[in-house]
Amino acid sequence: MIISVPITALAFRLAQLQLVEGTQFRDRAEDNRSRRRPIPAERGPILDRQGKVLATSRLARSAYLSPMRQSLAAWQQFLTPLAGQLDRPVPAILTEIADRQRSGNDDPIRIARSISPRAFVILAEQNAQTAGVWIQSESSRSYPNGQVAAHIIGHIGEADPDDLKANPSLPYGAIVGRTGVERLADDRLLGTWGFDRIESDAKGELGEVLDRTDPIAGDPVQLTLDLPTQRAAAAALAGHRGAAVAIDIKTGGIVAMASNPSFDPNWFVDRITGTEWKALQAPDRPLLNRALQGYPPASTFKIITSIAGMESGAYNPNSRIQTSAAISLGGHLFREHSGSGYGAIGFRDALAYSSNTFYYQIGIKIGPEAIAKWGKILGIGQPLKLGLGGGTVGSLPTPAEKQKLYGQPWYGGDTVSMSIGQGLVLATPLELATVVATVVNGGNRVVPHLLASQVNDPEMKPQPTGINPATLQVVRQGLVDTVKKGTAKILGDGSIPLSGGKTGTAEVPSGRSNAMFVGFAPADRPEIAVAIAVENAGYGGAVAAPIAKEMYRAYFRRPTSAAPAAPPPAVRD
Amino acid sequence: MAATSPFSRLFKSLFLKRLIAPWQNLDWILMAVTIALTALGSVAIRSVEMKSGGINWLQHAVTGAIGVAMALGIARFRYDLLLRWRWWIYGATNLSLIAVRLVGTTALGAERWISIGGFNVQPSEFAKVGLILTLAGMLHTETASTLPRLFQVLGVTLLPCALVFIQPSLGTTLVLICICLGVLYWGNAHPGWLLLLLSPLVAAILFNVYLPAWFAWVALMGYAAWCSLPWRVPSALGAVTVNLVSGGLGKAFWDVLQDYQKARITMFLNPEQDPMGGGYHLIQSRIAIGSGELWGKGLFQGTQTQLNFIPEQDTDFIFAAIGEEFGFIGSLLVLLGFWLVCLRLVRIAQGAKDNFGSLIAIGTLAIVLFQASVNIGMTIGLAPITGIPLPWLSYGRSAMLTNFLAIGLAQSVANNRQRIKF
Repeated sequence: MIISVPITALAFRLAQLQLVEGTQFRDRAEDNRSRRRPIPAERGPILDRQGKVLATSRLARSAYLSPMRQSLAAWQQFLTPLAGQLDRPVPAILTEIADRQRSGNDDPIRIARSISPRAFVILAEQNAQTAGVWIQSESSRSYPNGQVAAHIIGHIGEADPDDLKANPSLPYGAIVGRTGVERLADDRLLGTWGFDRIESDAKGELGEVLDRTDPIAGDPVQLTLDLPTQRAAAAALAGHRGAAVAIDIKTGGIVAMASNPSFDPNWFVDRITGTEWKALQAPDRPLLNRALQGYPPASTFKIITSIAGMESGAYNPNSRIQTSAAISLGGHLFREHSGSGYGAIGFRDALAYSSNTFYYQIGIKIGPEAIAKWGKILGIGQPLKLGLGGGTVGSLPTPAEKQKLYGQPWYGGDTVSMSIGQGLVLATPLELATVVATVVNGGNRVVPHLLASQVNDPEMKPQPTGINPATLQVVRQGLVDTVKKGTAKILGDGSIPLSGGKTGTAEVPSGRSNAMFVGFAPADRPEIAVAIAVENAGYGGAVAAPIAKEMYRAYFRRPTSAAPAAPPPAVRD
Repeated sequence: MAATSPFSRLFKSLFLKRLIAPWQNLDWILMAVTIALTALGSVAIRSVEMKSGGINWLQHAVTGAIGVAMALGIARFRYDLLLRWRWWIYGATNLSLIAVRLVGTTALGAERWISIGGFNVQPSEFAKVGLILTLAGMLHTETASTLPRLFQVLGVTLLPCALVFIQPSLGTTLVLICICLGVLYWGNAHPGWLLLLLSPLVAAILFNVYLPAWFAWVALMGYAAWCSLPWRVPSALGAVTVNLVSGGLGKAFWDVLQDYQKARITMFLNPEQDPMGGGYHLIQSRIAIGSGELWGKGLFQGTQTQLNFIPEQDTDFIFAAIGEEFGFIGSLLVLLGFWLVCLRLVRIAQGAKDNFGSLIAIGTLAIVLFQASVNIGMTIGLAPITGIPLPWLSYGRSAMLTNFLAIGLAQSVANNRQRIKF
């Protein structure tokens, strides 16, 4: 009895552990014996509409270490000779090692991405493998076009704790998109990380690779962007602060969206250097995407006032209005900018010559609410669906909104200012391009977007506005007249297809005026709509319109005879 | 050569008979099972040492072989000659334990070894056999059926117990106590007395764990004292008082224990409370054994064992290697082996020609049963970690020799029972 009782008890307990809970313990033993060493997935490339490479991945040799492998003091000794060869200063790495050791987290820490030959030699001399440091080939992000399209492409960064929480399958040190398309399309670009399961003993010493789960490369993401046009816009903006946008008038796909000053997304691939950081923090804010910032649209807004005038029923496409040197309102004179009137003119001439007094009268007659209403219908202040983050939309305050926002009553002068796109009116270059596209595509308000895959997205479907075709026709003719004989004659020199457009020159509180231009081309069968804003640069016709010209030139592949696009370089090694 | 001639056959049978004659009453099952366990121990230690390339498995086998030879040698001699030497043995046992205090080697916070001729000897292991012989000798002449005799036996046990306890080796102390209780029980001590002896310890534990159970226990002990002791009323009251007091004393005793002992004692209940510290051992051991499932992972295939997840695995935690690599079937066979050993020892005790021999077998049984239960129990979370090795399986030369010494004595008892005439 005394013998059998304890032995039976042991037998029952063994049965419980080995038979009942055996599978569970088997799993724990499997967990014990292996470590996962992540293998990065190659991030998918970002391509323009023709497959030209905007962002790609190239192979680089990175160095990783296993923080628990050595004592902090030993790591310090190991890393000190590598100072200056690593991504980060040695003390920063040591701090991270100390943190990891405290929490018992032995996931690899990357100490260098694309290690230098010198670091490679030092690592070899130090017998890195036994010390718990290894070198791994992995893909590194590369942006062949530098600062071109930086605001669209965005940049990448190492996943932070929030990213890891949101996506638990990501290993430490994973690269994720931080801004722009890199973030917008992160899910598709990311791919799936693979891992080596490595046999590991109680001390964490790694043995042979037990098995490998291969990484799955991220998908390529194609944009609606046209790289030559984008390049031309960026080049034309050089030396200015401002933005230039081109969109497909039928789909709303963004063909170009440049903002200057810009930055180089390559800076974010490795750790940002001091000078790069300083450049990013410059007072003219290179990280700001000016295509998504509101500007006073100035005379480009007359397109909206025209449509509001006609669609509100107060005028018709054949209406003529007497213009004069100035009109008086409440004892205040509102002048024509040319100093004299143009006589009794219709909408076409009013647009072509940019008559102020013509639009003052429309504004006074139809009132600010009507202008705001049609402005909104045409695309100003509509929710931004780009998904780039950080952008703003324009605003068209009505008297009630002015009271609410600024605590001030509405004056007659406000209406006058509004009718010519000054005062409280703000529109982003992207919205102005949308307005033009809507006018010239037959009255469907397009929804600007960047991903080629979004063309068929119901969210991005153009919205019919119901604007009378005759109204659109007269405005479009007015815009073409502007190029033919009006304020944008600079575009009518025959080097590019005939186009339509509208200049604007916005007085701003300090410095020179902002130069504005909106337009479309070709005049007869429009393909793209453009909008340009250049801060403190002078006249729209003199500064902004030539930028549009460069964009058209690039888009229509002039003057260089339309060379076939080069095949995209191999993005996979 | 006429190898099959009648003469030759006769010679052979006579020769063989003469050869095994000295062991003709030997318990061959007992011998075979202990040898098998030793061999299994060697294999398991080899598995533990696969990566490190140690040779403890070989030493284990060699020591085992020496032990078997020694056991067979002892079995030839008449154990009853030792009866006269019982007090010399007692003296030598205590002297060797004192020697550990003076010239011992410290390991793992305890002084357990003395070095003799280059070998590290653990006197506390041999003290087990020494105590068996002494107590068996005492009870041979006069059984423990009287209280004075009982207290004499307890007194004799106390000295080596104290010497081992201060080494400190809690595990061996418990083995000595177990030997004492075992021979007392077999030596006609009233079971109630033994129960009463243990009762303060039980009371102390119950007091801290579950108060109503403690009250019930106190009452039960009062009744036991009433039934088993003379002067019923004062005895019963005394038993009740002692159990009441020891409830409170339990805490005081607890404070006497060293920290590592406390942690070892409580950790087995919930090792997850300190998975990287005191509970690590227990958790890894359970994972190893549990993951063996029915058939085990196969020899040298246990990941927990091969990748050194269990510290001191060749000694106290050797059963984890067996459980992992040979599974439930292998573990059950080991249990069966120990059960057989115990059963044979009981048989020997029953068939012994005198009380001395019978008690030697029971003392040996106490060692084997207690150590096997507590050691295996600790690897599977049924008992606290007490540093008790698994007989014949754990690596440890002194322990191995002690075990075979005890088996040898038991075999001598078997061998020297009434001769079968032929």
